[in-house]
Amino acid sequence: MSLKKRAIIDEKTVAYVRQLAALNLTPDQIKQFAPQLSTVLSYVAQIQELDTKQVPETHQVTYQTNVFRPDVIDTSRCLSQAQALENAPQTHHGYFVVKSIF
Amino acid sequence: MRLKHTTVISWSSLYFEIMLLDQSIHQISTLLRQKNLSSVELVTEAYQTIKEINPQINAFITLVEQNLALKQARNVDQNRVKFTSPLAGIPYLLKDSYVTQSLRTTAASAVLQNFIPPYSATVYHRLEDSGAILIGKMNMDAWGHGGSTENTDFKPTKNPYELSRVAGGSSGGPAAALACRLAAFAIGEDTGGSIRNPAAWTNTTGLKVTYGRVSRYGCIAYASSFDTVGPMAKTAADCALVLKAIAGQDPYDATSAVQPVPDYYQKLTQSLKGKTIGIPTDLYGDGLDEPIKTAILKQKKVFQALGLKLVELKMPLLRYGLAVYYLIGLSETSSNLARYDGLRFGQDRHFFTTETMRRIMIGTYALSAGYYDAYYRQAQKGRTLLIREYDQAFTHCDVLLMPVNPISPPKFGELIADPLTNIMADIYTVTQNPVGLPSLAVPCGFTPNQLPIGLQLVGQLFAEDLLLAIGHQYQQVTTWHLQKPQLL
Repeated sequence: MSLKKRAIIDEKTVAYVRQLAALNLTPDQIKQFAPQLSTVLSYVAQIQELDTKQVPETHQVTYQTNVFRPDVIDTSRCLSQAQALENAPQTHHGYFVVKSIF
Repeated sequence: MRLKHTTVISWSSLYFEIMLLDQSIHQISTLLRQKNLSSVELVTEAYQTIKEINPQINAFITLVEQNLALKQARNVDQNRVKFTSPLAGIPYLLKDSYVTQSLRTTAASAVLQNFIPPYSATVYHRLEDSGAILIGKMNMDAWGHGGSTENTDFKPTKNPYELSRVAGGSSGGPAAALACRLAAFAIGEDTGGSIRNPAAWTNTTGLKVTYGRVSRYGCIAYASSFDTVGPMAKTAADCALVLKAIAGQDPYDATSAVQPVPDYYQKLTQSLKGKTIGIPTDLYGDGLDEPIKTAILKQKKVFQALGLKLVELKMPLLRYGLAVYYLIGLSETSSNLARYDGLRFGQDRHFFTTETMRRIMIGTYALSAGYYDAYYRQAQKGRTLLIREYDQAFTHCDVLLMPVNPISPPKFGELIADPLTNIMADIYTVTQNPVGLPSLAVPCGFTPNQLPIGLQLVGQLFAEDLLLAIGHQYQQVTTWHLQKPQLL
């Protein structure tokens, strides 16, 4: 295992990434995650040893291009408004209730 | 119904001496068609075994009400001519990562612990159409995040071969249940070994299919460009029958493959003469437990006796497979799991387990500005190199013989306690998913402590028929897959 390119994740970075990931971590979890994420990221940093100068990226392996379907509505897979709302914790007059973002 | 067994286990009770569900799907299906057996009898036996065994192994998250399953069984029994599929009337299990309309689906996460899906997965539709009878939604690592079914919010599944050990994962529930004959087959999901790892640790057979071979519609996503839907069963022949029923293009999944679906069962007996098995010797070095290495390499003779040639080769780039898998897989999961906001369905994000939060954090970091090029983009290029490494290997052979797990099933807590140890357990099963290749895991021995060992045969894209044929012919001349846990 190569630790040559050691990634150091401090608590500040954990707190920043937590915000990007919309996770509510406790101060204890942030403290616990910093060394754990450092260990994992140091391990995967071995990827930087690979010479990829002339190598294209692979995003998917379906080996298909341009998969089309007819532009028609398939009602058999449409949810009714009631179905779409049935798992929501809070609804109001056919709407999802969300927290104010202002 | 009496059957002869080639292996004798010390049976704990007379009732389990002969189980209907010890038989192959083909045998059961023949008996059902001849009306020498009813689906009601089969389903009744399954529920009896579940009642006795499941409290010891915790394989289920949701058990379908017995009355509902029996009602379906009676329907198949009464309308035999209408159901032509060999799966008609046969009880099966779904990993709890497939949405089923009106039946709770959790992905083993508290986030979805009360989620009742308003629609069903394509794989479930296909099996319902075939007349197979769903009896349970099975335990797993939440969202597929793990290799031990310890990362579940529904208590870990125990290994039926030793209850103090894990069953593997992430499809640990279905694998443990099949080992105990709680159903005839199951549908697992494999993103980086989630079908093969628990199959090997429970002495069952599991197939990771070519990416796109089976529709992912309605499969709760872990890493969308790696996720595959595949069969788990007692034998390769059973997997062949199940794969035929579930494979094929689906208009609801644009990544599903257009390639025609062969009759995998009929092709089980194809000649293997002239086919070559490649053995990447660098995978049999440090880090692989000695009993596992010995057991797998002993099988070389068996494969030769089946007419296969053997060739040794090296695949040095595979050692970067874990890094490629983790960076891409966790990047994709951080994106996929962003949808769980607790507003439209499910509970909010603090219900994620610590392991899942760690994975989301790593993926988010790898995708974030300043690190994207060094981690995510570099991993996508590494993925191209993995594809080339496999392409190169397949110029020398038709299939590759690899270990499934580097270690035997560990005791509870050993894997989950250390994130890096947890990752290393996946080392042999993560390189196929970024490339899209199929791989079949079959039982091939036991450790001195009587813990199951599996091997995997990795094939080229859409070579499931060859993998299943080798697996089947191997199981015709070996008896590992017939052994059952003493629990029964």
